[in-house]
Amino acid sequence: MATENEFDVTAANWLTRAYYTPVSDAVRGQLSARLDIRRDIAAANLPLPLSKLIYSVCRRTRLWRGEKSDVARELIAHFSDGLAAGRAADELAKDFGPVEQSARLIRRAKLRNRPLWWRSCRFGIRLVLATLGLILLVYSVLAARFYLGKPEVAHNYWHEINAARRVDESDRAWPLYREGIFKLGKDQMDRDWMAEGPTGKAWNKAIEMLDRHPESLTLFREGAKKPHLGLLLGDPSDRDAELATGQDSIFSKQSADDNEELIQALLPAIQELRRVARFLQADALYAANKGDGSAALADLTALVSLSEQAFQPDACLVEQLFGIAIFGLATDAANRILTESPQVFSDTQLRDLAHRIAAYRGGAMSLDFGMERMMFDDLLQRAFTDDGHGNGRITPDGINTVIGLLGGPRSVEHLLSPYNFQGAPAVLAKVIGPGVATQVGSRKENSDVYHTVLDEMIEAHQGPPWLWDKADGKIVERHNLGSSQGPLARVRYWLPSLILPSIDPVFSAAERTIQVRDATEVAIALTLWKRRHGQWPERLDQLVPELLPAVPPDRADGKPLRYVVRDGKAVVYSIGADRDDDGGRSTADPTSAVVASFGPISAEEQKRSNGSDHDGDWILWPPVKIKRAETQD
Amino acid sequence: MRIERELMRGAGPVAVLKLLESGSKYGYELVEALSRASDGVLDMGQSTLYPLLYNLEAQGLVKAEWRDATATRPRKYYALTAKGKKRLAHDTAQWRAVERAMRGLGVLQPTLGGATG
Repeated sequence: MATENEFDVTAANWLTRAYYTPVSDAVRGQLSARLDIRRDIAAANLPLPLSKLIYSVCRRTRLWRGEKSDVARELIAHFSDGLAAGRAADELAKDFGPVEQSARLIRRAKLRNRPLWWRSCRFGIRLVLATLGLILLVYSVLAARFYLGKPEVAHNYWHEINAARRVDESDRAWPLYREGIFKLGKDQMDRDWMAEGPTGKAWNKAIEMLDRHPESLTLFREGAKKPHLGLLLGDPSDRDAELATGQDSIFSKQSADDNEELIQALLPAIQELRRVARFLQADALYAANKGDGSAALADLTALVSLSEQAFQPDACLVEQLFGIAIFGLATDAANRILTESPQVFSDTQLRDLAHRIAAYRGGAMSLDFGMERMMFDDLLQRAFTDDGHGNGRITPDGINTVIGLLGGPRSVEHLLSPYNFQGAPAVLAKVIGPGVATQVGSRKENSDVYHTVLDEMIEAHQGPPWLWDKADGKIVERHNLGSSQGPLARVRYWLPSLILPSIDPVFSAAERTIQVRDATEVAIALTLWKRRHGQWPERLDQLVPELLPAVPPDRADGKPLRYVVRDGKAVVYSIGADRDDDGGRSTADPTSAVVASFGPISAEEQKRSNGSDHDGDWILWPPVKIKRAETQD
Repeated sequence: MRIERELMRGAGPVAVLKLLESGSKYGYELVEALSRASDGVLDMGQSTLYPLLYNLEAQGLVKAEWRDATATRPRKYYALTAKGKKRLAHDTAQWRAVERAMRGLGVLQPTLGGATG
């Protein structure tokens, strides 16, 4: 039985011999090459087909050398026994079965015989690889889902808002204001001229400007008589009118048809209406200074009406705060006239003024968050996909759009910011982004949270401010939107946490306006009382009911508005920011006593206020030189 | 008659264990004994037998030992372990239960007196 050369290992070099030598032999300095199955096969002197079969099976098992050697020796013994029993080599080879299958089964069985540590490692590695594979698969699906998601801007909120604001052309004030604004050109009533009023050094400049624009003032007063402002968003007719008068750069080129992001809606008209309001305020002071009570009353009434007009249907908070500020200009001017030249008004005119101010917005100061909600819903449709049932998932385009609007980098990287990944390379951000995006709540979740939190915030500010549940922070925390929340929660309600409006300042601004309105009503009643009695009343309740239906509350604590006569002058005041009655003593800086945030304050907060800059009262009438118009404007 | 692979998968291990009950045996001896004792029904290729033996070894049912049985070549002998004996007893009982069930179903012919051994 000859063997082929391939099993002849007698000429094997030392490296090969070393490779097939067990460690135990090697440490004894013997290059035994005991694990070389070719040597065993050659030594067995089997027929070539059987030798090849054994070698092929063993080689294909891909087992350790020691294991292969063991299998080879056993198969050698097996075939040797077969031959010894008189079986032919071909017959034995045939009975053995397929080489591939045999090698596979032997390998599988031998692996089961390996040490526990090896099998544990193998299982662990397989588990890790399988897990990684599964993660990779799932992540790939998520990444594809994320990057393929596209928002669908199906709704034009500009048109919806404009539809609510559209009124009969003859009822629109805006075209008259606009015409008056064009006639003003670049002229602007400087706030500094107004601060000192007719007694100030710069007042002459204000008078010159007023005298230059009688037509504009007439148009403004006419506009104020209209029932509606009729100011539309992205109205191309504003641009057309502007160009027709040869002016430019006042109004934006935005068009409602373009359906840009609603939050991007520019409100240049608000800035222009502010000019209108300052002209009317200056003219009221000018008229009073000239002794023209009728003109002054007309200007004050026009200011109040302009303020009311600002509360259009679906007015955004900016527009509403503008309206509040304009009303502040009206009451500020009225209070100054009542202090400096009360004789300019007849009793009837004072009553008319009192009624007009009392009737401001029907006596209510409600705020509407309709447009804020629309702005949010508009962002939702630009950030999330739309499944047609009000739900969807976040999209890369949506993230870019929203963050771009808010001034951040237009990148999926933004989602990683709660995880402190800002410095991560863009590629890494793109890889991680889809994973983080899975943590962003659905469109419906984000929508529900936004509207629920807003509802709760509004609810917490209902009723008089001294009964408010000052729970803005608690509401935000309760809905996992606060900055103290972990990154997971902040990412989940990513959009609401970014753009939920700050409610308290808005409601406090409205309360300040109510307080000033009430004080103006009291000032008018006091003026009328003094005319009748030649002196100030001792108490405010003496004005009731003849001149005042009731003493209005101090909105800082709900008790009747405070009043004192000092040095022959009546002082109407609120206990102010420190919620402590200082007997009508103003702070060194009167603005610091103005209640910035209404609602109950804790004893600790009050203690901190006492002795601080806030220690003092908020003097409502007579107006102190605190440039309140600037503060509120 | 050669039996189906699936059936062989169940019968093979218990058959090998049974053969080893009488004493340790080496591979070729087992092949021959299996063929002889089962009248060729349980003939299995060596490509199946050796993996089967390695599996039984991995389960601790048999233990293997190299012995120099002859002057010319060593052989690897397989012997039942205590665990293997228990398994054989357990599997034997199961096969008997199967046999009874098959007889009950008429798949196998009933023995005289209904005994099943």
